[in-house]
Formats: sequence, structure tokens, C-alpha cells
Amino acid sequence: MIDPQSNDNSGRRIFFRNCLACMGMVGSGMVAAPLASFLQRPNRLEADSTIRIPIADIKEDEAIYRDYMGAQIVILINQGKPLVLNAACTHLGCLVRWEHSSRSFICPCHGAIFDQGGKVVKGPTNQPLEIIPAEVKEGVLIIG
Amino acid sequence: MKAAIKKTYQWFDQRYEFTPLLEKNVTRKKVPCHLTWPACFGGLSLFCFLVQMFTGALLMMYYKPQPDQAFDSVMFIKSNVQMGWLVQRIHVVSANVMILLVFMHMYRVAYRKIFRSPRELHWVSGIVLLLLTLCMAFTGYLLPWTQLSYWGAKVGTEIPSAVPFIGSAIVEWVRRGHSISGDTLGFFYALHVAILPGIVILFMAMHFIMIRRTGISEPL
Repeated sequence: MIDPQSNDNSGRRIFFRNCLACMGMVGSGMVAAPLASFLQRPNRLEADSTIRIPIADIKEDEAIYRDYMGAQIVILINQGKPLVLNAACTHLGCLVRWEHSSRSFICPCHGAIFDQGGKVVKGPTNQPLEIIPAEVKEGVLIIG
Repeated sequence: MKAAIKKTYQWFDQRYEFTPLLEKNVTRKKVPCHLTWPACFGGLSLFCFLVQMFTGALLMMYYKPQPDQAFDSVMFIKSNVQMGWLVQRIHVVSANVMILLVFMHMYRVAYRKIFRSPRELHWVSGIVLLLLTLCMAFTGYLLPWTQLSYWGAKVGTEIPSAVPFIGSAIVEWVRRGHSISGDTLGFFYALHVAILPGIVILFMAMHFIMIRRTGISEPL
């Protein structure tokens, strides 16, 4: 029990110090919580991950590169039919480049060559390019 | 736990010796007893500046200073980034509060004649800081790339045209062309996030070191 007549305010001092510490903790929490949520990854609105391209828009002599589920895909017409491939080289994952003159894919990193169907023409890899499933509905190519 | 923290602190303190420095400048620093709350305006301006640096750094993560992306990136911060609206609002409100506090600080210093010898240079560096604060606010105002900020920047950059002979040259220099464009945006962005804060920190250092040299003014 603190004697009200005494001049010793150490109890009062400790009380105020603890009050200040509590306020400091609440205050830093109020800064830290919004900061922590700000630093979360933002939610980019990815409305629909499916890709729709009218067949008429795909030209015979060019390849279309698109982002799909975090990967680069390439769309081209192969023997009159649309074909969708994963553009990552099966050797070490570099993006293959479409070479129209030879109708083949060339990997810029180690010189692997794939034909227009994604099959290996020249190493260092022996795995063909991954084929992405796609379907054609009413003249529109639908991926995913 | 408490002992371990204390031991770690002491280990560093023996090497860096910051306790005497801290005691001399913060915990046991003697200030004149006549000081009242208005003496805090300067320190509060500094606090606002620190808030601006902090929230500004957060906003820089998502802001894009290109004319076709600036507005969308600010909308993205406000609506898609968690607590982005709060950080953006704090940056805006704190900017306004900072200007208010800087002016109140100046009025107090003028009213109490604190600017007299040997503190003339405090006043001079303070006026430079006031102008820099206004420049920071003006350049930041353009960045959201809204109608309001576009026309605000247009009117604001019109002001130097009143200068005789070289007025229109100054206007074109500030605008990086005949009118406000993407080049203006990039220029204002560079000024706002790098160049002006750098100069502000330089003058703040001068301002604070000089105050420590002369001590806080005592009333006559």
C-alpha cells in the first residue's frame, strides 16, 4: 500500500511508464498492421484466364505469343490446324523464337531447333515442346 | 530475455559508445524552461517529412510515371492494394499538414523575433526549406494525372511567364515543352521522389546543425 503522505512517487512513475509503454505498443501495432497488409502481394484482377482467339486472326505465316497461367505460349497454324505450344525450350527453359523462313522454333540459348509441330530437329534436348490442350468452337480457338 | 537484450546492447555500446551521445542530445538534453507547445511546429514538420518519405516509398512500389499508366496505377493503389487507400490518403493529408506546420513554424519564429543574430542563417535555410516544401507539394500534385492535377500543373507552371524577357523560356523549361505532357510527368516525378528530397535533407541538416550550434533562442 502506498502511503499518500510520502514523497516517494516511484509507484506512480512506474505506472505512467507502463501506461506509456502500452500506448507505444498499441501505436506501433496500428502502424505495423496496415504496413504488413500493404506489403502483401496485390490482387491483380485476373478476370478470366482462358484465352479466346478467332481462328481467322491467326495468320498462316506468323506465331502469336501470349501469357497463359504464368507461362509463355505460342499459337500457330500447323498443317491447316491451330496448334498451341509452351514456348519454353525443354532443355533449360529459354523462350524459343519462331523462324518463319524455315517454319521452325529456334532456342536462342543453346541452339535447339524444333519443327512447326514442336518436335526436336536438333539438340541439346530430346524432348518435344509441350503441347497445350486447346479446342476450336465456332471458329474460335479456346485455350484453358 | 531482458538480460540477454541488455547484454547485446552493452556489447554494441562498448564499441559504438552511443549512450553518452544519446544522453547528451536526447534523454538528458536541457531545453529552456520557457518553451511551450508552439516550439514543436518545427519538429512536427520534420515528423511529417518522415511520414512522407515512408508512405512515398510505399507508393513508389506501384506508381508508374507514364502518362498512359499513371492514373490507372494510382487507382490500382487505391482500390486493389491492401491498405493502399490508407497509405495514399496519409501521403496526401500529411503533405497538407506539413505545409500548414511549416507556415506555423515560420510565423512563430517571425513573431518571437527568433531570427535575429546569431540565428539569421536559420531563417534563410528555413525559407529555402519552405520553398522546397511547396515545390514538393506542387510536383506531387501532378503525379495522379487527373484533370485537377493536369490543370493545376498548367496554371502553376504559367506563373514564371511573368518574369521579364526569359519568362516563356522558363515555362517551357519547366514543362519540358510547350504544354504539359508525359515529359513533364517524368520530370516532376524525378523532382518529387529524388532531387527535391535530396536537397531538402541537405538543408534540413544545415538547419538542425546550426540550431545545435547556437542553442535554442531565449526570450529577452
